[in-house]
Amino acid sequence: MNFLIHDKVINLPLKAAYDEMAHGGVFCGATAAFLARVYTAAGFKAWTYNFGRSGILTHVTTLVEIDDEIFIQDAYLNYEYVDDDGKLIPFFSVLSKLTDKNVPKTTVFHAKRTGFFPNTTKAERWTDTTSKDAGQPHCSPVNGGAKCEGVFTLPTMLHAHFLTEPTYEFLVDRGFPREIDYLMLFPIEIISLYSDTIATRDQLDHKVRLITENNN
Amino acid sequence: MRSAIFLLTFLMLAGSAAHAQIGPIIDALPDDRKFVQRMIESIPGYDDMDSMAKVRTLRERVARITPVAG
Repeated sequence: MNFLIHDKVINLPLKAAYDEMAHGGVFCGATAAFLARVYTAAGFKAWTYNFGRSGILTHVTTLVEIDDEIFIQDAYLNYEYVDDDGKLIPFFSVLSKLTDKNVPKTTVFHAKRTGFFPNTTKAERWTDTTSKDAGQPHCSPVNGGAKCEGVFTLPTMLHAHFLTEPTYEFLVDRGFPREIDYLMLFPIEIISLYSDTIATRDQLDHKVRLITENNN
Repeated sequence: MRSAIFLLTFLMLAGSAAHAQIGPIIDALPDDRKFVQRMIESIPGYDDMDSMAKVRTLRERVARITPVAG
């Protein structure tokens, strides 16, 4: 298996990077960078946001600017934060709500997709079988692992991941409920992939630090 | 293997990209626009969407075509 093709995702043109992905799958960091590049090529300004802490879960997601507001869009586990009307909640409103111990609603999309796993057992643990079209993953052996078609979502990933429980303990120790969303209050870094988004990156980073500074 | 999930991916990005632009990515932008234009052309009604809908649709599309490593 060749999971760690992250460097290729950020060093190749998107088409070539996509062709590489098709042979091995990608983790959150590469997916977030890929989406940021897609947004940029489509005319939007975008960054990646890395959060978590060493020894527990970390995650990388994508930030995108729409009409002078910043929003989270996660293509790795295909989710976003929305209000009761289904409208996107701005990134900094999400952080503020979390600081107030109010987890915004998260959409979870149940679309089938391809996943690469060390074995079929792990693929089954990652699979959301609750949606009507889901069922068990369909896997075939590839390069010492398994290539599977299934519905892989944030809740099932959390259920399967060995670092989920240590992450919950980390959050509880700091006064937060056992909900993974609060991990976003522990920033690592915002990354700009393009020169014209560096200045805004610095502003975003400063604002994130102000909101989250009491959590660390 | 399992520790690779989520962990280290950021470190690889940070090591390669630091905080700012990456030369190859900037150089690739013209080709990237062609790739994304083809993606957009495959999305019905994209040009009539507002910015919010475009962003969400592109995320949904990328999520569907990007194989997860688990």
